[in-house]
Amino acid sequence: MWHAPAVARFDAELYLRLAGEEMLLGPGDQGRRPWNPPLSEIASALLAVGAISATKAQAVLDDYSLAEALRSEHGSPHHMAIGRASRSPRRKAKALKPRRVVPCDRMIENAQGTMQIRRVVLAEDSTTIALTWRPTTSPRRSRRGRSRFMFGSGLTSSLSPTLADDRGTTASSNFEGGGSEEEWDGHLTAHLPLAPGTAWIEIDGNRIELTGQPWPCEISIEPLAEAAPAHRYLWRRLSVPTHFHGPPESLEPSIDALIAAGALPPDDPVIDDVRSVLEAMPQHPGMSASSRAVRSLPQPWRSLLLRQGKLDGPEGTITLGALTPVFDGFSAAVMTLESQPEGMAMEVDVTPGIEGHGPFNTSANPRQLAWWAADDRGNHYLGQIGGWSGSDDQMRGEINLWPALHPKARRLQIMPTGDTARAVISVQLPWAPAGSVDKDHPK
Amino acid sequence: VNAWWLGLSPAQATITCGEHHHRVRWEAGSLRALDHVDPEGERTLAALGGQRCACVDVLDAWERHQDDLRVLVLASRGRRDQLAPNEELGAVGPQVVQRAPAGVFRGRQRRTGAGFMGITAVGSSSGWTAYGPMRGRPSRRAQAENELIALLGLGGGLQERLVATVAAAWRQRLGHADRALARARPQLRAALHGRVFAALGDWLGTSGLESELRMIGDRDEPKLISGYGVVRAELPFGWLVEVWARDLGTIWGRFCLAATTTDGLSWRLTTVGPDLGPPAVITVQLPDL
Repeated sequence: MWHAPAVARFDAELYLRLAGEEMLLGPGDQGRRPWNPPLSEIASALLAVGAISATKAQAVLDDYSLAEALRSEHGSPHHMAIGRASRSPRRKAKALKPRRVVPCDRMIENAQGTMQIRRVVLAEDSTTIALTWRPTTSPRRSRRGRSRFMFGSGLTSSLSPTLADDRGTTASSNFEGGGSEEEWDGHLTAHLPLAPGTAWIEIDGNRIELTGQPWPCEISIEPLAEAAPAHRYLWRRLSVPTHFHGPPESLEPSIDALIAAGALPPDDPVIDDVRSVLEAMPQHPGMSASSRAVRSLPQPWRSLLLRQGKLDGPEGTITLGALTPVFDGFSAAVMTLESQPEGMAMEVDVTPGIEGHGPFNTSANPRQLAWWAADDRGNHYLGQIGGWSGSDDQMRGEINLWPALHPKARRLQIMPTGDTARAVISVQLPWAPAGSVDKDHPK
Repeated sequence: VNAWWLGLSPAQATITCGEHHHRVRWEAGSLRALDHVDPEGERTLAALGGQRCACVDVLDAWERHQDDLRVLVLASRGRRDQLAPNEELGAVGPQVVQRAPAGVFRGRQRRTGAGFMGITAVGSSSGWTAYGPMRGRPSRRAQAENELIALLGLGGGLQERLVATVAAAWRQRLGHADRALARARPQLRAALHGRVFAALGDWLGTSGLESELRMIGDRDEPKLISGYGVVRAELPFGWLVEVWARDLGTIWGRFCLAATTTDGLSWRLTTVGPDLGPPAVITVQLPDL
């Protein structure tokens, strides 16, 4: 382990470069991951407390990511280049376009299989139809337990029906989604937007009356409570979902860097709190919390981890169509909320596209949302990205919330959370059992 | 003042230049194309629209990167830090340079879209970028990076000579404080740290080794001492040129703090033993070939 001698003025670039040297020369293959190297954790921490500029941090990360890729037998320089190419300059946030969201439950059968139409979303610039596709040769299966190993086209290459509206617009469409031989979930996207106010649409001549209404919700924007930048970084690091790597393996390099930078006192009690939460965090949402000391953890982590592993969530799905204004550089739309015994899932759209989830990401300052939720009983829930697609401008994906929704919860606040502000989407839950008390919204 | 390359043996690689295998040779601080009588003339002809020549492209790339600090970041730190023998080494970007076995630099004469050394892979049209998310022409930075990676893949000891060349250039600049130097200091210190750490790791073993390095001036006394379980090194940036580049990091089981000469043949090496006791001098006499 190398140490830079104590100096009066902290040199963040030198600290980061020395960490890079240690990573390259470290024992074994541990440091030889050409994607998302641990160095980015340190860079992000130093950047969060203003110890280094984003440009300089990124330059160091690029240097050492390429150096690492050149040494890796598993990776290659192109991993590094893909990561760099997939980074784009920060763009000014644009609100998602207003959209009309119409819940549906309509089956359309043809010789190839069955389409179950779940939702139609109409905006001035796009039309998408959420559906489940079951090829004719496949028996129907339950949504739970299905195997998902295919993405894109494959079996669904023939799934490109013609869409029409009541204004005479017709448009071809293409399907994107994921699934197995038995069942695919995904979206049809019209190549030409249909009229947002249309009374019906047709899918290959099968008419669907658009009479449904989305479930009502309330939306507000709240600033986050003031906090020391180092504290905010560490807590946020625990809550931002990472698709490929789960919770961070260790925050010690970040903690060391924050202490070295003078942004975190070595005896700060938050350090132990963060360590305890990380120790208790399951590596996978399905796992039970690993610590016996969960009850001593600070909120919201205590309630999150106390219910981890429960399988008592109610079953149900609501179509929301909740659209937030721009907050903290993001705009988000929550299209559906589905509760199952083991957890919840949401289909969301976000603009701009969210960085930091790709396998080759080496951004020092990724655009990321933490997806929190809280119920009226004081329970908290945290989201992980299940699958996503999109571009720099917009992302569409599935957020899996854990643990299971409390069976007596009557109201849920969904809170996509940025660095300094969050949106709060408040929903009365339709499946709450009679007699349970909504603390904030009593009848 | 002695030339920085005194005592450094020549290094040579063979590359494919047109239909021929040609040699590029580093000697006495310069890279030369041994099989081209008039590289400058060929350069001029190429600039006028004539056929580019891979050997001259390598010379030009070397010239462009001889003070490039990224060389110190990307290149090997020592024996236990080798760049992977990867077919894709040097294959980043749309104009592909494949690493060839035994130091052979495969290529064929053609002016590429990116102007990258006029060399492209034999039998490869687009390389990995056919599958990547890159759009349009590579940026100037990406082109420079491709070029650098290709240079590091030349083989035949040229990678180490390129590191020595860059280190020597920056050692000279250290004597003249300016803004560029101030910006480069973290990179220079990290380059020294990494190579000293690698040499110490080989020498003492890495298990439990706690080390600390202070970069001192060329005129300060270099030291390697131990205290409170930490090995403390005080070495100048010039150690990279004088010691590391000559592969003198350890000699006869001793760590080399400094190497000096007056004629390039008789060398005085200041060394310490594994007990980190007082320095002792080893004198080495090279044959006058």
